[in-house]
Amino acid sequence: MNILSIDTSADETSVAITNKQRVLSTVIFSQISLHKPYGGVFPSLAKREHYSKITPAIELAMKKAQMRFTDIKAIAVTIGPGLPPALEVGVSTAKLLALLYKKPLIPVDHIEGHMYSPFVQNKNGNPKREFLFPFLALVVSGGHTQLVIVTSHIQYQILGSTLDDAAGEALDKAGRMLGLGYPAGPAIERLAENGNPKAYALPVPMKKLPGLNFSYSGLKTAFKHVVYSMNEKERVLHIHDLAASFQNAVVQSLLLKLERALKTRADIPLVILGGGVSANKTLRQQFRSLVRTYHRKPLTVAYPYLSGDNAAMIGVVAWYKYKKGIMLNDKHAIQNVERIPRANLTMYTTE
Amino acid sequence: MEIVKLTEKNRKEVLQKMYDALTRDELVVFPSDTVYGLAVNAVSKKAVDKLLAFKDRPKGKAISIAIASLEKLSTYAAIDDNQRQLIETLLPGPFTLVLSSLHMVDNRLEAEDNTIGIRIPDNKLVHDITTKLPFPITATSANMSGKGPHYSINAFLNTLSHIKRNQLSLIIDAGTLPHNEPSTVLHMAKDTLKILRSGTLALKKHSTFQSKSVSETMKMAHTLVSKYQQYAENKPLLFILKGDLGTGKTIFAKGVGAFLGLTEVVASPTYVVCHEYDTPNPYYKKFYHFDLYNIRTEEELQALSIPNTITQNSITLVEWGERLGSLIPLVEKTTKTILIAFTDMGKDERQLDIFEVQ
Repeated sequence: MNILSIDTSADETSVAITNKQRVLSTVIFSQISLHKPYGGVFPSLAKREHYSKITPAIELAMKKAQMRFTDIKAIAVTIGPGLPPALEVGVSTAKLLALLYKKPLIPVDHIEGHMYSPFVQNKNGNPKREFLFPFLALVVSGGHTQLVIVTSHIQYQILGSTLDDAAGEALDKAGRMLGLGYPAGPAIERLAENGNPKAYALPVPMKKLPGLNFSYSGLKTAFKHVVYSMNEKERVLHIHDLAASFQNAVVQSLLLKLERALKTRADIPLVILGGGVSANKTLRQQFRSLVRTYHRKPLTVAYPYLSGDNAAMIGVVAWYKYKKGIMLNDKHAIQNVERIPRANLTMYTTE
Repeated sequence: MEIVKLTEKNRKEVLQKMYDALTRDELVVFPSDTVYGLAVNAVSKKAVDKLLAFKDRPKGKAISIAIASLEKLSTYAAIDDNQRQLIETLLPGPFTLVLSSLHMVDNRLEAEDNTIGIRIPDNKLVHDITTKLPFPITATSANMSGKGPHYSINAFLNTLSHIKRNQLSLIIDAGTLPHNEPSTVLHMAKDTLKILRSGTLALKKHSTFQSKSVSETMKMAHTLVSKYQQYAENKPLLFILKGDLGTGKTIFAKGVGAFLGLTEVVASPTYVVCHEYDTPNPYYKKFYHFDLYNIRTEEELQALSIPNTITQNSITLVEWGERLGSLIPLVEKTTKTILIAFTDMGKDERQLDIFEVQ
């Protein structure tokens, strides 16, 4: 049961061949160094790069897995959320492959991928991790901040989402206020290692408001006021403390909501953390210790590449969809598949 | 011809070299916040002679000048209080202001209607050199008349003959510039301004609104949308929002979304550039929310095909909308356009300067 999966939601062109939860081959061509001089993902640049890289990525993934299209059972693709011109490349390529080789097409929501990412195994089938339903997923990345309950395979209930900026976006914008390059998130983390997280009193977002939604615009503005009140010299002098304080406020806001969810839902045995920001060590450590305090099982990705955008996690979700018969076989249905830049899980749940 | 690479360490030496060359009435190529520029002493006849000979510029075509700060503006151009207020909202930024000249520079730099183009570039090197020099410099882009601008020194030099190259005295090489657009030229007369070159956009100073809270900013969005609803049948509504991080642009967008009856959360579209919503509102059926924070070049802008996105019976809101640049006149023709400049006045207070396109 081999699936070829494609993810082009932002600045990585990724193709994987998976078999159930196992990754037989994976290719990730990153555009980050290309976008670096401009400080952000660039739509037309991204589109052009995805177009030039998608075919080599598919060929390489097939070669690494030693496969031919007769060995592939289905094509999976991320249809959203993401950058529209970037998604377009993956979706049109996947449609073409499905029609050309007469394979079913399995549309996958990018967030589903991050929620399944801790269950992605290497080619030998490791690690062996059990799905314990219902499980809670905290997905944190440059484009998304969501708290979701996975009630059973491919069944979701969204508990909370960001009301404005995503957590990763806030880290990136804070980094740019400090004059750091793109992507600023990892740079903030490095600087924060030698800084005092309590040096500046920044508000922990949404602390006083009920509910499980997230918000980062207030924190961003508060940080701006602190940074802009300093001259260049002071900023450089205190850059470690500034980075540590901002990172701490972001982490605390994420954990605060997670804790609220854990308090109200005693029926949840397992909590997973996924998405690009989950690569942040401080967040991972504090996440694990909080979840353990509530006697639940914490899970993060087994291999570092799985926290970022990748097609392997999309292939694994596709396998569970395939098992449930959630796929498109009809030629017209496949032709009508479109990218959904603002996709939001619920569209792909079986009610 | 001398080429000097600009580094973190040699900024002072480079400034001195520029200072010396410009004082000797020579031609200097320098990196600005937009493209590579060509500088000479703007008050020296000899220097302007050299510049005009180099550029093959037809007579009567104006050449803009760069000055250090807003305070110096009134030395070179006549401005009234209304204009000053408007200028302070727009600058610093990638704009060239066309104002009534006080004839303090070589008159061949002025246009036939006695106006002069003035830039205050948002660039440390240009700021430092204009502060250091006792005279203004020209800020025309480093290219031959009628040719496109250049983002790297090599690209520029490759277009030049040996003779032309020798007319240049000093070249400051700051590597490849980040492909920002050339500046937008704003023609100001009284309290109106229009974009030259590319159309007839005339922004009229409309009103200033002080918001004391998030909910007041959202309320302002309600007020504005309902005010312009009368145009909905004929023209889509376009909000161009300009303002720094954390000045309330997304909050305003939330206000528009709430007015339109959206039940979904209007979140920041920074990461994906555009969010599209179907609304239950009978006048405006679509709401397009753009964010150009990550968009820095003309090519990127074109790739988004914003003018094609805007449909009848829709509201389009563009954060970091000043980056629409060359598209503004295009979209302005087919929409009712409102420009709002957001300023952080401290704590939760924001100032909204609202300009209506006439």
